[in-house]
Amino acid sequence: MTLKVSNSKHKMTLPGSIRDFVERQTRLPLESLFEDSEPPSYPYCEYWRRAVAAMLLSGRIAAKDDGFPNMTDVNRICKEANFDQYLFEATSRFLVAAKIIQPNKQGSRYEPAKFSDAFWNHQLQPLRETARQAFLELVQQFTSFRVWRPTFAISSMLDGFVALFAAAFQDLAIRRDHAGKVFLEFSKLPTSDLIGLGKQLGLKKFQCDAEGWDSWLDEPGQQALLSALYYSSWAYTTDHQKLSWIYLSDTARIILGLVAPPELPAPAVDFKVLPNLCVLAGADLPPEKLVPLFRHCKINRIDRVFEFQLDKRQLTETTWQEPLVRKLREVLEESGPLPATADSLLRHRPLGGGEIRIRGCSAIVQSESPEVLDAIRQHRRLKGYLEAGAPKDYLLIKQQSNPSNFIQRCEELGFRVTILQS
Amino acid sequence: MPTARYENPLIVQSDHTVLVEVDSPCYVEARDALARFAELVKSPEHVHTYRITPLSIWNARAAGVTVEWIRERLRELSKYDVPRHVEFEIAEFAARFGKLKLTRDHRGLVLSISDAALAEELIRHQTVTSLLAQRIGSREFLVEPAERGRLKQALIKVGYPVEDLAGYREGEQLELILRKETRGGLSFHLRDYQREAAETFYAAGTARGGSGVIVLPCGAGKTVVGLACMARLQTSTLVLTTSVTATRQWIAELMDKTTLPGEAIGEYNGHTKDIRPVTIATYNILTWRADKTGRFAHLELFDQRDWGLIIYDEVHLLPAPVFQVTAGLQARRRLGLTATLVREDGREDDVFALIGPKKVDMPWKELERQGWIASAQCHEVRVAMPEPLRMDYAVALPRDRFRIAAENPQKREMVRQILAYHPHAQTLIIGMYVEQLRELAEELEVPLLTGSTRQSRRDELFTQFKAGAIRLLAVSKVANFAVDLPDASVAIQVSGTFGSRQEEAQRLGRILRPKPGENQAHFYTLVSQDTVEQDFALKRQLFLCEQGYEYEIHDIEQLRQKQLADESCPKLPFPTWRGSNE
Repeated sequence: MTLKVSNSKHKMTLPGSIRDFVERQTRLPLESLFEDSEPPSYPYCEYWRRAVAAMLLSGRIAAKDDGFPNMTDVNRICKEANFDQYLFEATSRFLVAAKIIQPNKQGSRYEPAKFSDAFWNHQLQPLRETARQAFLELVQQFTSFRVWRPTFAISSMLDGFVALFAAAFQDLAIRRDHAGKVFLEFSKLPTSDLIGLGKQLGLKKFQCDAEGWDSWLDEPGQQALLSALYYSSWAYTTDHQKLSWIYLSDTARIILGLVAPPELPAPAVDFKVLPNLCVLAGADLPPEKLVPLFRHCKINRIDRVFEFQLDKRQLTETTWQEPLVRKLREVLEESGPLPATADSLLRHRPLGGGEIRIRGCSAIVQSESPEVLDAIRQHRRLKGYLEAGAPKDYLLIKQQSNPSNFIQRCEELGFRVTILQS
Repeated sequence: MPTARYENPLIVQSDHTVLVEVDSPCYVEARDALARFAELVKSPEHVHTYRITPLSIWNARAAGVTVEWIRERLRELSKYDVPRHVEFEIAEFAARFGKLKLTRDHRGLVLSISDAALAEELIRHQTVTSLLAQRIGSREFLVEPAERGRLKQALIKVGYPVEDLAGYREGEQLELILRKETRGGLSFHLRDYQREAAETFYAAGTARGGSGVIVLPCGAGKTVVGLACMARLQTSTLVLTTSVTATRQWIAELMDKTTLPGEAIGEYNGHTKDIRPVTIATYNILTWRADKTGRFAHLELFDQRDWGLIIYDEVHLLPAPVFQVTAGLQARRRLGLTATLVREDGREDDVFALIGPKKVDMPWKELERQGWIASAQCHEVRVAMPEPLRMDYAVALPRDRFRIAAENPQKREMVRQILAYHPHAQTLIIGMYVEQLRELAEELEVPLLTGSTRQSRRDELFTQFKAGAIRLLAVSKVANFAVDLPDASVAIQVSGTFGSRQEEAQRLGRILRPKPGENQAHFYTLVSQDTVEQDFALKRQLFLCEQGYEYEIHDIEQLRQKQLADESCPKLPFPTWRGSNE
């Protein structure tokens, strides 16, 4: 059987055992699942993935000890941005596993990691390298350590296994509930045939060596493999005639070198600050511009062109230091002269920047008239309770004095006392 | 890497939002295309936002626009590729249109559904079934005429629009022709956009037109569009307005610009109850009742003549009881007029379902560019709170803070300075707090018009103001709507109603009537600096910013200090202030 698809890098002939295996499975051609399929897209360049990366770097999401994001923060930001929190969780997990983002040294926030530039600048080769490692890292995370496995997932060559499987089931979907079993049986096909197919794909011999794969494909291993495929965007499921079907994605095929990548889509680099305090920023702008926006603005829309709102309350909460306001202003000014409304908002003094002086007192006293206030201030049995420097129209009771004693004395002296509710 | 078509104006987002860059050479082409199948959401400077909704697609289909045409336009004018799923969903929305039709034949009002499965699905919705009178076939149902509005509303809510082809009652015949020369002797003809709006509403007299809302900025001549629709239909008309003053203005316009004799026009309000072939009533009288549980006795006005057309002026203010009556008036043509479809109560959907879809929405800035309304400069002037008041403000309860800030006495001095800067302009001083306005009016010796001013005194003041006999007028919120003061070119808002967006638009609208000469209006909002009033002012302004207006913000203290420190610093916005500094 010769498989041919457009954009295919390799023209392959499946060895007999593999061909028979594929034909024995319950499968569906992908074209029968979709009325109007999308053309393949460049791997890991989706606007929502860039949004997740920018949100992680924005400092609005804390990192937990295990390196994953704090879900309370994630829920809050996803609610604001109307973004699926499960997609956020999966994407952030991949970004951390792929060393695109990492927790900082204190382990409390996120910072760019080794492959950050490759991700933001769509560099395919480093992305291929790190995505394969991330996939294996995710398999490890989902299965954790099992004594009967000879190696850690990083040395398991399961990425090679997926490459062979993707080549065998090109343009085909299999039943989701059979997938684990199919993986296991596929790994048990004659090693020579798997190596032969691997050769056609340009894989090295050790990458398609079936030795040990079956130890990774026990039941927990099958689930871990499926989870890692989803989290890496290497596989998707879809429903058809009341059954769930799984198929390997174009991203997997491109990352595993089975097909050439399509052209990179035209970058969305629009950047505008509008008088209604809305900021439009294309998803392909560099992180230096996007991250401050995700940090300081309200996120209105995550799409090809992100939409933010400059919001006084948000700014007050996030720009608690003067330099942060300046930084945001610098970024926004790169879009052109700021409209007066935005300019004015950014001129607003941050809440945390001013000087405050604090003094203690145990109670404050308000009176019906300045005369009564003065009478208390002058009274020799009461003035000892008072602290100097009270605001106009008020008296302060010293911090070390007991207000109950002051009240008792006032009542003895004929004042009517009302306790104000705090 | 493929090159984006960066000179193209459209960005189609995956949530069906469409961004349009105003500075693109293809902007006009894009705007005209989008007007047919998308709704304008906001139009600030530089980038306008439209949204493709099921309703907008159904409106387009009703107007004969095809899915292929929409797809082609989007692809042709987009900067980036149109998301595939958006194209797919547009086709899905469009496919729903025309599946349900409401027609009238010898059996009565009939709802026909294109396929039996859909009919079965729909009758399983309780809200729909209760409005159907009888099943007369596998795909046909009889409908009580009184339920026509509510049925359409219910079906739209379950995702299926009804193509209402049942037509309208023609109403009593009425001869009404637009004059070529006004009674005042001035040449009169409809402007292009007014004619187009009337024609869009009329739709050649077919059942596809005859109900809907026309959104035009204040000063663009909505009343004239109403007259043009009346002239097209030649039928008895009930006009509903917001106030007696607005009623009188409608009468004046009818007398001035149409051939209608005075005896054919009636006024129906608290003072007069005169029902004629053209009757102009107020919302207040229609919703009047003796006590909270009493009935709305004047709603019977809707049945007291065979009205062929009902015009709802300032439709965004339509009160709830009038909505209910309107649901039962689907056999009469209905025209809504407004400058802002924003309803503070969020009932825009009811306007759509019961009055009709938006037929025309002309961006304010577009008319300003064409010179049909005055171009407006909007200023927010931030005035510091006097020192003693600052502490009062700081310790006040949240509910009292807005009032303390709004009544900042420093604003009075600022009003004086602005008045001195526009020494000859017809100026309105607008405020929310009557006490504040009263003090200002006394100090400046300006006549004051509030809710408690008698109608005769109001008419007198408006007449004097229009004639130029008085230059300044202090007005409370009673003058927000439907008051035509064509010569006012400056408005000073000393206090606004919290964050009410439509109020800000209406107040600006008072000064947008085109002016002879430079055709320039000035709108000043005075706000107390660093107070909650500043936040509310921002919220109000956002609506105008979305209409394309930009606010200049003057922080008076900051400007004063800068100028003292640096001679080259831009001068204070008003020359008189320099004098006061010295």
